[in-house]
Amino acid sequence: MTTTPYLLVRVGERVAALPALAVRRVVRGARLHPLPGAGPGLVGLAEFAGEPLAVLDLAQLLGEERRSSRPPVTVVTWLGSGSDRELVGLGVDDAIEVTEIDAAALGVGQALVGGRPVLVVDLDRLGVEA
Amino acid sequence: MSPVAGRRTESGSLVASALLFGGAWAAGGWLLTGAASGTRGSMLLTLFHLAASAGAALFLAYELTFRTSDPRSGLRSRLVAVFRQLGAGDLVRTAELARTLDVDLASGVGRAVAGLASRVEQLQASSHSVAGAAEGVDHGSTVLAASSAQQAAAAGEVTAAMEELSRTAAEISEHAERQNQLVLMAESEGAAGAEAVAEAVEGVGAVERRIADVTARADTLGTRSREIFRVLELISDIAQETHLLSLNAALEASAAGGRGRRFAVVAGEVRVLAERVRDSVASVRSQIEEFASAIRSTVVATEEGGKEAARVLEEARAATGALGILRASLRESSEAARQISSVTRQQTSATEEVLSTLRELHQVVERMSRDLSQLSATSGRLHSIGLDLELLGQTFRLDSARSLKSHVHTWAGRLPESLDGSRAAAAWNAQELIDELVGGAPFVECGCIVDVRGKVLATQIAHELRAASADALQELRRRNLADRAWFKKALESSRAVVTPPERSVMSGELCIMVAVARRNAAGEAVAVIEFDVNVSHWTEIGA
Repeated sequence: MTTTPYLLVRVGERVAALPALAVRRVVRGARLHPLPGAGPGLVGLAEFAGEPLAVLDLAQLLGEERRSSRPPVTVVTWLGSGSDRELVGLGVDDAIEVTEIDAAALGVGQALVGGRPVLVVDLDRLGVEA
Repeated sequence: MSPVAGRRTESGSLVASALLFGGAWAAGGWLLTGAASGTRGSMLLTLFHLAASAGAALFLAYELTFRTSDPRSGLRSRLVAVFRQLGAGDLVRTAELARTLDVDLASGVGRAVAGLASRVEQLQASSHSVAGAAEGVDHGSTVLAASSAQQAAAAGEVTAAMEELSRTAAEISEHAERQNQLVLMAESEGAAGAEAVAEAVEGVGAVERRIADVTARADTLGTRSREIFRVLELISDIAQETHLLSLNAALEASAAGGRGRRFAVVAGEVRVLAERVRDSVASVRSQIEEFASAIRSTVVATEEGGKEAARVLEEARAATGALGILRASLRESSEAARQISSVTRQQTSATEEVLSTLRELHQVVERMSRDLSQLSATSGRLHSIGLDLELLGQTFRLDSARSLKSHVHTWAGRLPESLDGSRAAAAWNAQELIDELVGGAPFVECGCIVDVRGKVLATQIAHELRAASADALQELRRRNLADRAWFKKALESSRAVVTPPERSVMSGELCIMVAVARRNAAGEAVAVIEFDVNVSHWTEIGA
């Protein structure tokens, strides 16, 4: 049986699964600096390991409505693959746990974790679309 | 008849006339003495003079009868005429006839007549005084009797009012005593009430202190709850950080592959522990919030209870003050009731004394009223006697303005000697004369001139009676007065006649009638003139 580790996060009313191997760190209460003229989904800039880090709102990236408040938890993760990959922050409402998901349980963009549906985020595609 | 016999006869007539005159004066003296006993002092002197005059007359009669013996001059017959006039009381005519006597006799008789006239005038003046004084006393005693009767009635009313006052005072005293007892009972109840209110105030004060204690404790609990909340926040933050650390550790374990699997298990347990801590904190927070809410409600309720207790305490203190004022008022009321009772008892005692005095006064006033009524009756009789004396005095004709007979003789002299044919009769107007005479004599109520057949020639009444007595006057003018006693007597006598008093149909007051006949030279009557004289106006005769 082949399993892959995923980080489960809560986005609004939904639970999303991010590939754990791409995630560098989960941070709470990062200091965000809003950018003038930024497009939808870009919350602002934060500082991570001495470098500026763009923080995106995962909810908006997943097609949710624009939230009124900033997301309290930032997931620092690689977006893209190969030489195109870059480190970004994804704002979520909460980070739940790191769990192993069986490949058999993976559907197209969806999986069942503990009997409930979870949205599986493809960070490569998410980065392209973003 | 021989001269001696004639002389004896004349002498007998003289003696008889003298005795008649003396007897008349003695009788008059007796009447005066008996009648005027109330004014004895003023009358005794007059009676003494009358008695002296009567003695002088007797002495004169003796002298004339036994010592006068001049048969030539008809002296005796003139003396008889003089004494006849004297016996009839006509002192004017007596004086006229006396002047026909010898000088000595004329002088003696003239002095006697003048002395007698003087006494009669004194008698008239005294009887005026008696009648006037008696009338005054009568009027005064009548007024006094009426006043004293009113006083007796008033004293009776005052006595009744005082008796009522005495009864009322006794009732007031009784009521005041009862009020005092009620006030004492109320005072006792008020004292008990004041104690109860004081206990209530004490109890409410204790409750208020307890409430303040509870409020303070609740505040402490609220403060402690807030501290617990802060600790819970800290625990929650630590749990969240622990959760993140466990997640990052799990991520690191995942990156480490197979070597990190055991670390991942530990990280997972740490995460579960952190989540349980977070859930527990949420549960504790919920319970603490309920607890804090309950404390806040308790504080609010306690504060309201404290306010209510404070209000009750304030009202209780106000009630204590009101009770104090009420008790003070009750004590004053009790004192006032005691004073009223005491004063009213004193008043009752004083009223009883006043009542006793008033009853005595009432008896005295009633007795005085009866005495005054008797005095009024006595003075009325005295007034009547005074009038009788006056009438007696007026039986004399004096040469005086106070003599009624003198007036009527003078007035009769103004009538002509003949009523038909003579010049004097033609010029004479009966109505004018009677108008003048009645109008000029205020004591005359009515006057009339009548011919010898009794026909009324003229008549008039006093001015003040004309309006009320016009009909009576007309009736009088139409009547024939020949049957009247005064008319008959006046025709028979050459002197004025006076009738006893009788009530006038004009004024309703006592009047006497004075009448005299007018005679011609032959002594024949040609007319009679008559006047009604009001005895109430005696004093105006000759005034």
